[in-house]
Order: sequence, then C-alpha cells, then structure tokens
Amino acid sequence: MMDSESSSDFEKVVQNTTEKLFALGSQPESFERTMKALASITTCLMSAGVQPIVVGGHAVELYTFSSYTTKDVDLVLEEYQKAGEILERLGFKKMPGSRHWYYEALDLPIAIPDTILEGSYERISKVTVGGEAVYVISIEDLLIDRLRAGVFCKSIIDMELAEVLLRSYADKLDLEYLDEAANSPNAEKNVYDEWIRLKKKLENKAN
Amino acid sequence: MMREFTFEELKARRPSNLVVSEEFSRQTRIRRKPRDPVERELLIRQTQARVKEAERQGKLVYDGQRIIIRF
Repeated sequence: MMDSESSSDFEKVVQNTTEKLFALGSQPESFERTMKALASITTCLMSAGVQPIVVGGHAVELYTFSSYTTKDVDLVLEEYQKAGEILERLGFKKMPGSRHWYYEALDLPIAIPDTILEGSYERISKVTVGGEAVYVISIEDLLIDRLRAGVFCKSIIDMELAEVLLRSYADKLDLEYLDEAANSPNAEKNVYDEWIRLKKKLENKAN
Repeated sequence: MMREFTFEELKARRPSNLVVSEEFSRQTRIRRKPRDPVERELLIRQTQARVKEAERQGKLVYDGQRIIIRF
C-alpha cells in the first residue's frame, strides 16, 4: 500500500501524464506521437510499480522503422487490473466486448494480452523518447513470436515479418538463443522447422 | 476458407497468449493480402536500408544483448 507521500507523488504523475496525452492530441498522427504517448504511459505505470513491455505488431513497427505499420499496441505487464484502472484514469475507455482500452483523441488502442512475457526479461530493448523510456520485447523473442503466429494461424504475413526481422538484423541476432527458443518444449515442432527453413534461406542469400 | 475458432477454443490450444489474442482480433477484421515475392523482397530491402540508416545516425545502438533505440 502506498504511504500518503508516495500516493501524492503518484497523483502528480497521473495528472502530468493526463496533460501530456491531452497535448499530444493536437499533434498530427504519427508513429512518433504514439511513441511519445507510450513513453508517458510507461512512466506513469512504472511509478505505480508496473513495467509495461511492448510486444506484437507495434514492436515489429519499431524494429522495422515503420516498414510495417499497425495501430494496436499490445503491452505485457504483471498487474492487469491495476494497469487497466490507471489507463482509465488517464482517459482511456475500455471498449465493450473488446480486449482494448481506447484513447479517442490519439486514436490509440491498447491491449494487455498477457501478464508474462513469452521471452527473456534480460533481453528487452529500451527505446528512449525525450527523457522517458519505452520497453520492448527483444528482437529474438519477437521473431520467434512471429514464427509461432505464422505456424499457428497459418499466416503468411507473420512468416514474412519473421523473415524481415531476420534479414534486417542478421549479423546482430543471437542465433544460438533463437535455436534454443525455437526448439523449446513450449514451441510447436513446426516452429523449429520454419526457423531452420528461414536460417537456410538467409545462408543461401549470403552465398 | 479459414476455420473460425472461438476464443476458448483458441486458448485451449495456446501456443502463446499473445498469438491467441491477436488471432482472435484478426477474425473480426479483413485479412491483409500477403505480398508477392517481389513486393516481399522490396519490403526486406527497404527495412534493411532503414535499419542501416538508423545505425549510421546513432538512433539504433547495440549494448551487448540489448538494443537501444533513441527517438
């Protein structure tokens, strides 16, 4: 439970974040505007002891520098209920029958698909936006996640995105980690097969 | 034609909660048409160029296992 001093500090952060989000509403829609909003939201949630991590399509947009675009923002965080309440205090509305909280002036839908990150907390990336930060699933874990989506949903688009990530960061990725993650008991057998197929394709392109 | 699952059916198969959640959302939307091989190659080259440019400008930095991106 927060003491009165930290509670008062948190109230200030909520007010500050609410004002920042409101001010962003007058800026034209852009990826940068969304990142600024996410940075403010992250600061607010962190001050309540909740660390949000961006996963899914928005993480792909970030790592591809907007070659791929999406509107939804998926956040993984440990305290779903608490985070939902904070989002609503900041002006988000829970959409009836939907998994999203929505901030209309920014046309920004946020979902919390999980409370546990499918991947390594040690590897999460940090995006600095002004003096604030946004935390993002590692590129290796994101790549595996796209492969899982590709296999499970038979989605060509997700397979394509896995290939985009692999070939754009080929010399920076931890291939041993990817081998292990694709071959973990949690991953379907086809995920490993697809990973090997992608790796061979990368090798062929290099030769 | 793609089989339609309920959220509970998808969850029972659970490859990951994120995949389940995203798939559930997609079923309510029009699926984007996949790119042909030429478009796919263009997308990859465009992304490779953007990543290299971000590295060159110092916006994208590698710190051991972690990536730092500066806006």
